[in-house]
Amino acid sequence: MKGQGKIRVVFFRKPVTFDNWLLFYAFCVLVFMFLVIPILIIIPVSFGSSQYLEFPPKDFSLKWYASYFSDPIWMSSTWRSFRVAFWVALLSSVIGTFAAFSLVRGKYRGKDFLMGLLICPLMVPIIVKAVAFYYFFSRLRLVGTELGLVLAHTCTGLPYIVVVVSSTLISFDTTLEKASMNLGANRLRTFMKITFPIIRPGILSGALFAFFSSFDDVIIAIFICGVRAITLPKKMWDGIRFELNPTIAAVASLLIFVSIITLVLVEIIRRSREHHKTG
Amino acid sequence: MKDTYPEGAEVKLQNVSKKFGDITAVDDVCLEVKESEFLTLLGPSGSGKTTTLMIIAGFERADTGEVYLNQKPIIDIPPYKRNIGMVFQQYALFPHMKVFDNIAYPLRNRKVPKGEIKRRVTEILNLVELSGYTDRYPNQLSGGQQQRVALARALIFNPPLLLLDEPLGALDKNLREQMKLEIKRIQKSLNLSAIYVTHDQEEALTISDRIAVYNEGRILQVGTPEDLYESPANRFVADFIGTSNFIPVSLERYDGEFMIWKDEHNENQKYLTHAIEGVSPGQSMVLVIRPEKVRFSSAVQNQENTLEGQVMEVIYTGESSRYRIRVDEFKEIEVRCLNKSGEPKFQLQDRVRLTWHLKDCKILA
Repeated sequence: MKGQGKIRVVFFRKPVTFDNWLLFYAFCVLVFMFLVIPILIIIPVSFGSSQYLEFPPKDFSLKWYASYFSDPIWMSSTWRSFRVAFWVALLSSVIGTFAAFSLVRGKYRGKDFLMGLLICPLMVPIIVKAVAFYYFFSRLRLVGTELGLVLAHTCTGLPYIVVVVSSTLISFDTTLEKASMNLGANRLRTFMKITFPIIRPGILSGALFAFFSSFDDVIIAIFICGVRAITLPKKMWDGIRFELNPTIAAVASLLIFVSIITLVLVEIIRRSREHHKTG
Repeated sequence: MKDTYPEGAEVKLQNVSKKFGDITAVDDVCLEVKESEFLTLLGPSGSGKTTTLMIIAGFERADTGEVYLNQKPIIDIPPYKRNIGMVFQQYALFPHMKVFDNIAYPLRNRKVPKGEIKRRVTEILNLVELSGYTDRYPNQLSGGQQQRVALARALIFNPPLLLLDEPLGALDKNLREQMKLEIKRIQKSLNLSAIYVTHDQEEALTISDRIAVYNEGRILQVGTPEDLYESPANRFVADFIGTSNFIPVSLERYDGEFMIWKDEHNENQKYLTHAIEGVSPGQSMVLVIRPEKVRFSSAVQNQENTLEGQVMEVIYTGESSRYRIRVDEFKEIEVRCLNKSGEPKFQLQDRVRLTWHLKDCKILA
């Protein structure tokens, strides 16, 4: 391509030729900026010292970070979010893996219907789920409890695990289990030593989805948190509505940082497994 | 610690049947494998040979019948307690374990101490000529190497019986030849009994002590490779093992020692064979003759067992040539002869005369 000095890009099935590289790169940069600038703009804002969200910041200060880390309510809602997301990931992994096993390996009627039922929470608009949970959980006195949050989020996180683990299981070669049993391992040992380690990446990536679907959620949280079980996104939401000070910007920057770290970690784990995943 | 391998096991299948829905996969199979014998289950795909193997390994449960391993019934024993080695079609190596851990797996399941595991894995890797590969993952090995690892893993716990399910299917031709001999060598040197499943008759002929020919869930014939090739019990075996010419005939006359047969399509064409039992005059049978047993003859001899025809095709295969001879509109005879000096050579369209020895043709139902 470089030899021709022109770049051909297919756009709506029509080849478009860029006459020079500069124009092409400029276009790419624009697209990239469109995607990330709104997110990244929050970072400089968080380092300003102004009382208000101000861009560009006039000076540099860490006071909003200090305010975040020293505020017990911010801290407790952060830990609550992590705690809830952790239990959601764990609970939906266990239930979702069992469900996936049943859906893939089981021989019974109505499997498609059951699959549909399990995937259903992905289709229903969040606000509908949130209202439903609110009415249902208020009867059970679960509104305003972490348990309520965990249960509601598990319901929305479960489909991720079911989908990912099912597809992993479909491509799993069951001859390996036969080989294992033939070599003297009973069913439990075969699961622990062969099946589980091989499908584990699938479970983990499903669990990660479930974790973040819980950690991200603000809509269900608004309904279920009450005043006693406020999560981080809910606290940020409240912050925007009632205080509007740059602590939110500091928290947002930290969350972006956490996301990047997580992505990098996942990539490292994936690469270290790559060499024996194929074949 | 056991350093010596045990004698091969005796296996006996008694009236074993297995259905999948409406399909009878294995139909009343009786079979015996002797101590240290290499027995091959040979048949087209879907003939029930793999299902038989799975029943012996314990992955399928026979609907009726019993399987004995060294005189003990094993049908109620789960696969992980049967102590039978098995090599799977696609090797079924564990992708997340290194070669060492794959081979050590059966020993770890049996709680063998660490030091002994290391010693025995090293030993068996020598046997399959793969020392130095312990730290590789299966996908870093070639097909042939994966095959050897699978073999080592199936042998390391000293099973008295080894099952092989089309183990060479995934290899290319040269490697297949080589592995075939190697499997045979290892089986003999360890004194194992082996049951080998294949649809490749050539493979079966070269590797087996005895062969059981399967079709549609039944065993049609069991015998040594020579038995099967020289004395097939029925048309299917004659057709499946090697190639055969089939000529439909009916019995005309029986004169004590010989039988005279009449060609079904040509009243005047007669065939002479040794007498066989249980055939009455007029009965339709089929005369079977192997391509390499048919000879070209120059002299006009007896009318029987002589056919005249025209060369329709010549295929040169190096050591031998194959001729397709058209006798009449119902009969084409394949002839194979070695390309030795002095042998007659024929061209397309040549008129030729064919004959054979009395003892070389068979009459089958």
